[in-house]
Amino acid sequence: MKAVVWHGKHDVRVEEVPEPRLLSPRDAVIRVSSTALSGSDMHLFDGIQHGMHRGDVLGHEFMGTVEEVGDQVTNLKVGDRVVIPYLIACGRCWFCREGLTALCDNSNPNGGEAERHYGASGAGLFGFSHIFGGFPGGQAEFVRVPFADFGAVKVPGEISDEKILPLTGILPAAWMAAENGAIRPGDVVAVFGCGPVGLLAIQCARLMGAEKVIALDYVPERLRLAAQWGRAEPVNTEDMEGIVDELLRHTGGRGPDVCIDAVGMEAHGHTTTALFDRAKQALHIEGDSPAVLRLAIRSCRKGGTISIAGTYSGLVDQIPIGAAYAKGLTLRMGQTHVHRYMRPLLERIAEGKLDPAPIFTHRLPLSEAPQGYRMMHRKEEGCIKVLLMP
Amino acid sequence: MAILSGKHKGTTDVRVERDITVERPAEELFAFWRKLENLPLFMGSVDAVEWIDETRTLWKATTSDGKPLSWEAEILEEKANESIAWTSVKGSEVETSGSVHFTPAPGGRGTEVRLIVRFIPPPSERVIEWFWNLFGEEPAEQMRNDLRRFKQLMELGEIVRAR
Repeated sequence: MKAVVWHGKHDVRVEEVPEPRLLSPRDAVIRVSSTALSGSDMHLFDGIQHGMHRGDVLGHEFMGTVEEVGDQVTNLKVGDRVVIPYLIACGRCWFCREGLTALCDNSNPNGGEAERHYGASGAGLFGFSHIFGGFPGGQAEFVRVPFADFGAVKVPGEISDEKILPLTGILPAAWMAAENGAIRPGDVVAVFGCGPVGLLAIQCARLMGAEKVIALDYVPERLRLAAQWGRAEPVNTEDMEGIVDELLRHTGGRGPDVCIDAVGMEAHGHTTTALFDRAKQALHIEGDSPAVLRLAIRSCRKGGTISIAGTYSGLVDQIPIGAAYAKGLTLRMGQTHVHRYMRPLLERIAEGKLDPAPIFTHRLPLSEAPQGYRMMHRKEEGCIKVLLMP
Repeated sequence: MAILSGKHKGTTDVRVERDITVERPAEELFAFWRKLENLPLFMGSVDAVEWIDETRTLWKATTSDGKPLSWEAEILEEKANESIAWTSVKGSEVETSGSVHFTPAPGGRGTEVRLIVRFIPPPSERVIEWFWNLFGEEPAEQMRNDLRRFKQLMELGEIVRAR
């Protein structure tokens, strides 16, 4: 079958690889109908995520139809249309039963390595670093789905792939970002970073009753979408000094009730210096200040909440914890517990209350995946997110 | 964690200890572990455990460079549903001892499992190098991975495979 294969920094290729097969009675094999490129794929493309091996099949956002099921997968049958969470969860450990599927105890076969890095291991991931299991991904014609009986969600035929595919991760991530913000009707929400998760978080914040959303980014295309699609007040942070003052101006001097960090660190170095350097590179969102998190802490209203949706993976320096303490802030964060949000969000999509499809700015056949990676990486032609069809 | 613990016959031995919580009752975990022939199912470096008599077993392994390795071990003490302690018999190719303990976790959240293993290298060998040459990994890492697999096996009935 054809699959997108990682070869190294800025080197992904579409190649013939062996078709996946069932390895456990709880597995399913899915024939992929649509798959997407994500921000994390860009980290892999940039070669900044260690633990990748040459030959790894990429892709953690995918959906399709069931091709084959293991003996214990009694809730799915061949031909069912399904969408798959980007993280793999066993469904039986304490964390899974608590709904904290991103923290699954069992699904990462290389969890020992994750424990060494982070003190504990979370769930395994499709198409990602071997620190998270090294499971072959779904930018392919077929993919093996472990614990399919727990993870796969059946979807009705009449809703388009473009609307369903964001359920794999970015829409649940956006929803959890807003939920972690504990938004109350009438709140002012600042969303730092208007990539796919930030843009969707604006939609979710609106549904939760946010009266005003301030969208911060430096890419005009993204800000235009935030304003048009999310009715957000755009703030272009390119070359801007005094972002905190700008946010205070937007909020009568109070600061936003909720700050959502949808940028994260985008850095995977191990030394503080490496992280610092990468932060400056990645953040662009502002001038000298090294982290969105700092801005969020400094601008957030007293007693407000900071929700971190963007990825952090190492150390950060000089977090103004004194300001956070003085202002009595709440900070919430973490990988998305995708499984618990998929069905409720699918309902909202079916009812027409949420439509994540506009996030896809580009559609390409799987065979042109390398071009898609380059385009999304360089944010060319207003590219926000790429959908691939095998 | 691994602790280099003092001198033994002129060489330093290593003692490794690790805890993991498994969401199954202590009785079930004890019963599984007590069938020592089950241990190779999750112990990455052990190929087989065969019973010699009621308390003695023969452990078979393969070194990282492919040579067969075996040692005889004996159950020293056991408390039903609580703990098992063992040691290799004198003159074994690998000198090791250990114990496993099962304690119900607070809140009915499964069982806290503590594994303690001690390895004593042959005289004049440096323990970590000796262990590496035998098993191709560090003792603490081996135990971490073994216990993670044990938990998967007990909670899921299988060991998770990425490919």
